[in-house]
Amino acid sequence: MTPSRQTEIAFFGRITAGATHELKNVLAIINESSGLMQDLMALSKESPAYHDRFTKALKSIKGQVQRGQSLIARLNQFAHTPDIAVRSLDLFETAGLVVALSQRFAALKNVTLKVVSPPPTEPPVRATLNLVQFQMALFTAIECWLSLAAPGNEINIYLSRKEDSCEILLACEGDFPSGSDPDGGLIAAEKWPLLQSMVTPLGGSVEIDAHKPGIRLILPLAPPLSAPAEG
Amino acid sequence: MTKIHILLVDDEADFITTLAERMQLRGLTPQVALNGDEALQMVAKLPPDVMILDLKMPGIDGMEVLRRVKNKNPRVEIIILTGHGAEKDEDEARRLGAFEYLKKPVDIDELTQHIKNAHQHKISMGD
Repeated sequence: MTPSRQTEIAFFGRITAGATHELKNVLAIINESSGLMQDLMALSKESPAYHDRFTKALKSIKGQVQRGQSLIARLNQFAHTPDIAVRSLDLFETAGLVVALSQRFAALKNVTLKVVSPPPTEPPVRATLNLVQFQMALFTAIECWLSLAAPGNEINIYLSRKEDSCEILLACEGDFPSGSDPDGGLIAAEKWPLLQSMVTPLGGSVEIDAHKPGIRLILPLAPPLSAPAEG
Repeated sequence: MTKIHILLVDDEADFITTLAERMQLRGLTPQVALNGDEALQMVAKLPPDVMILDLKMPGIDGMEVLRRVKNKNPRVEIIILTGHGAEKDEDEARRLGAFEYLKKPVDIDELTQHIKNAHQHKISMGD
């Protein structure tokens, strides 16, 4: 990644982080104000008209604050991605953030998207990677599948560690339309060349897993020597 | 229950005054400061038991307030309550002696419990 591109990404990150900070304050004020209304209604001995309706509306506000809080927390975390270029990552956690921020795109296709939890007995899969590049590659792989997946399909992401690499398998499970060719469709997908170009600077490769069917990202546990230094 | 001297510090006036009102409904009696400078003056007059402190404020920011208060009044327990999500800020705040690091918005009962825990910690340290 060129220095000017890093500067551009850092700019977007900084602006987004600032905006999400403000949005958290907005939600915090809504949260406290609606909470105060709930407190006062709970204290009131009278039974005012519309009591039930107000209670229902306040419950809805609380639910939406929690929804917004969750989304903004993820967006804020994402905005801080460029803070440190190369870092040691817990891939389950990092993939979880990308998946959470991609849910809207999956929902538009009626596709379920999730990271499959590894067995609790296995140690976390960690790798030292450029976080922005890794997130972009994973998101692009998701986009490749979303361009092909049928409504009702599930894109399940499996993480595993090999001897000197880690693998991220995006398997699309469920029925495909009869006569369709998922493997050929992936290679012909508009985003496939982009995905290949994104995996290269990570020092990795991408291939089709014909059995699942799936996209397999194979990445090194440490960055290639030409990768930018941390900081 | 022992009365806990609480100081709330945040430049978002709507947020902090409403939070203070909700705490009053729960039997607490917090004071409010709307910026870092005001907070430092209030601490100099009467150090609180527990301070709830935002990080991003105009003028003297929360991290600097944390640093100065812990330097002069190490027994004041400080809970950071911020919308700022950077891990490095949490690490720095804890290194400077913050008792807890919470993100907005926070559940009032959860916050109240953290305040009680902080106060208990202060007592256990020999207050």
